[in-house]
Amino acid sequence: MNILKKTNIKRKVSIRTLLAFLFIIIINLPIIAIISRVNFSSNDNWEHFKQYLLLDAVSNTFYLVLFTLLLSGIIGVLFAVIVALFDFPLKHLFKWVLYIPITIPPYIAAYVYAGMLSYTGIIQRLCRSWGIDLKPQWLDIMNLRGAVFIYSITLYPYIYGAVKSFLENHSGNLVDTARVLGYKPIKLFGKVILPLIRIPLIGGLMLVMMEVVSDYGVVKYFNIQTMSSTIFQSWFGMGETGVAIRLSFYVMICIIALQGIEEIMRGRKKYVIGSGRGRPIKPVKLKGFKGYAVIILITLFIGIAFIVPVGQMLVWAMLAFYKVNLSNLNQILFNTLIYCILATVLILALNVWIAHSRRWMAAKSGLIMSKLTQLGYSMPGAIIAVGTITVFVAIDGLLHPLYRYFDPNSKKLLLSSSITMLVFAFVVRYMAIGFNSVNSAFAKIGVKYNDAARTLGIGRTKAMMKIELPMLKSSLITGFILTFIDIIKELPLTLLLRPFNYNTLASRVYEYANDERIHEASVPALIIISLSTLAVILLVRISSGKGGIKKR
Amino acid sequence: MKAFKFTKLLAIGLTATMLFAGCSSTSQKATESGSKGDETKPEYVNLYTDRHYDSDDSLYNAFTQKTGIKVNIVKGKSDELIERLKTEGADTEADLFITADAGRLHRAKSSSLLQPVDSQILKANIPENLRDSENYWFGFTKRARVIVYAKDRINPAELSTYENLTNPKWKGKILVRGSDSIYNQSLLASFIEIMGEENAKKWAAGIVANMARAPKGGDRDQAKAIAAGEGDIAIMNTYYFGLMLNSSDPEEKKVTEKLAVFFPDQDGSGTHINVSGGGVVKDAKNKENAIKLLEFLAGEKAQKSYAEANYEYPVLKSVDSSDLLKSWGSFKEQSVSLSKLGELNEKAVKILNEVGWK
Repeated sequence: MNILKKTNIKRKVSIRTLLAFLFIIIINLPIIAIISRVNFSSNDNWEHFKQYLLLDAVSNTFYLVLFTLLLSGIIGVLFAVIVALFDFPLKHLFKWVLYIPITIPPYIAAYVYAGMLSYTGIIQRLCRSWGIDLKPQWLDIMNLRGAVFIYSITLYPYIYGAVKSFLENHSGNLVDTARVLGYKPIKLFGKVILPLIRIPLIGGLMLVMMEVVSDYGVVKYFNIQTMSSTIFQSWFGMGETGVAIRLSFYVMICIIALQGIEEIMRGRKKYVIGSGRGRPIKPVKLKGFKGYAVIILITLFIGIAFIVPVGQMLVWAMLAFYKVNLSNLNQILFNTLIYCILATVLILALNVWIAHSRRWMAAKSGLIMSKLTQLGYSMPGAIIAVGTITVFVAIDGLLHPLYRYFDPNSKKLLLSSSITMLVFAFVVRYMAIGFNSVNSAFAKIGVKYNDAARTLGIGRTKAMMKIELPMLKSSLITGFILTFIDIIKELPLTLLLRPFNYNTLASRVYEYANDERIHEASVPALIIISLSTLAVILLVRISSGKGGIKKR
Repeated sequence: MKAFKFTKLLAIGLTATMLFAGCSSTSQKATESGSKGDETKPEYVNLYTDRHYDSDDSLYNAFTQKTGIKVNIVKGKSDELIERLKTEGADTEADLFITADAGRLHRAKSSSLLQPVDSQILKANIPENLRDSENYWFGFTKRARVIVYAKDRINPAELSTYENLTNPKWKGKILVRGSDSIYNQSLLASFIEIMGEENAKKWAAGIVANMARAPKGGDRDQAKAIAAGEGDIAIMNTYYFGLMLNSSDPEEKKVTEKLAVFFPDQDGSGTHINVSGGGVVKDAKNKENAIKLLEFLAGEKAQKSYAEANYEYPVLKSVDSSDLLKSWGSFKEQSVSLSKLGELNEKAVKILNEVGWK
């Protein structure tokens, strides 16, 4: 293995690698455009920020991230372990139901929960009718704890998904051996499972962290001063992008640094499972009481994370249905699906290429490359949006002569007033989501199939397309779901980068929610949730149906 | 075999979507360039707006029916739209910029994104303090930032001015949203203009000292918090109070009916108002159409629609407010030139941060 690796390093830089790097440079153009505007000179606004806002922003962000990671990590790992290691009634249903809360955009969950718990909300109303006097403070969710709760119940599926599929497919021998050796559940978890799932767990936690750091909707509504809300406030309030850009630059650096530290720590103790040697785990049947306890636990959780908020939205949607303008619904659906699917497919294709070529790169350059694909995810969407506009206006400037060649009357801002810009921005922002699943899949199968195909006279790319992609189908499908869902629920990008008259579901939700009309907003929000849920069901079916059988 | 199918599917899917992307952008172009070739070229006006009401859309439709000018819209947040306008520079496709805050309009003007418009209709219909002194932008609806109080706990005779809210007797009673709200920023900016920076800061500090809870949520949440008994008095916009009284949730309606509106500073400088307004983009390609749309929005039909559909106050004198707004009574407005709200916005934000208004 080692020898093979060394010879790989010496190989010449191939077109494959160059192309991969070219892709990476292109998707990072908006970020370069933003960073090039960073100004480190100290001015009034920066001093003001340091004096009055810095402390709150840093400490709130820190606690928010820390506790969200803890809570979502516990939830995600708990359910992943339960589902992977045990058999219980209705497991096949619960297995994918546990993915579904990811379909609720966090800011919508925040509005819904705040609404439900408010004075006019269902809970206080019921209590009042029963004569129970509740202190409003008891039900106050609009604070840091509440935000942690909201983020955790909407984001834990990142962790659940990654850990579960890893455990299911690759921990069979180790877990079984430990069980044979008589490890008690706690010891089994601490000594075997936790070290094993480290890589997917950290991958999932990183995604959650970046979502939390860059999210703006929840913290704005709850009025929690975080880095991201401060970025916006300094931008909006002080009307200059200087502080905002500088802050988002620092946030990005922090996230890169964190990932670097993780990488270094992981480097020392690598739990390498011989690639491909891991075999599916054999779940233990939970009988009687234990089985039902698990069912009750999952049902309760799904109730809180999905059924209750969605049920509430259904009620609101019915109340306000007549006020919602749905005249262009077909067009809106069409628009939404087009940019979501386009961006998702592009993200997957680029990630496949990058992960594919990464395997023949020196470890370090491969690592740098993988980090570079993730930069966009660590920045607030609106900042990416501004960077993207800058890039596209410049590109349009360059290409204008070309447009003129085809159409003498062509306007200059052709690309930047089409959905190309919107789709591109999504690619920039969500490369990281697809990358995790695609890259870990490629890393897992290593290069041996490709090498084998090569000895049979097939080119590497062809071998990848014909042999490896089909093998990785389920990882690709997971990547597809996660990316699609993230894109369909994302707001700031779709808001700013739309071409004229390009209404989408996310923009409709915003229009109502921003106007504090959550009842009306429930209608388009429910459509987003149904579409994402449909995606989850459809794709989980495909992957568990065909993919599962094939593996065995 | 299966493997082959899958990759094939992926490849087909990819090319199909790519082609589609190409088509959708070219088809858009086709309709536009095709239209140019026609003998009677369809007129249009491109609008960047941060107002996002369904009733606005029907107004634009009415405009199209009346004039034949199609209104193309990008809706977004005002600051982001300003940033987009700045980046697009002279090449921008936008002709008209509309936003729901005078401060932002001023910011667009001072970033050289707008151009002055000389229109008799606009000048005649819109009071002087509701438009830019150099005619770069024009307000066409008003909202007031008022005091809302619990009828059962507060005697309106005790209420008088905004400044009165800083009186220690209101300690733990005041509800208001966070300092990131543009409405709070503009309110404070107006005080800086009226009473000077020092006193405005004292006012903000006094409100912070009297807050019933850490600021959170939107304007509606403040009214709900009164109902819940967390505080007795909220500073909020008339617009949201109107929305609540007509909520689709009967419980919310019921709760709101226990609250009432009070217009502060009636013996002094008047109640704070802000406008939604628009200005023609500096490099507008369809300037004439943009002006026509502005004039339409300041006209009687549009003003009526604003008044009825949206709980906003019309700026046109001859148009009455909706019955609901009328039932709250007429009131004396601040006479502060709204351009000041923009000029003083940064100062206001800094004061809010300094006094610890979260």
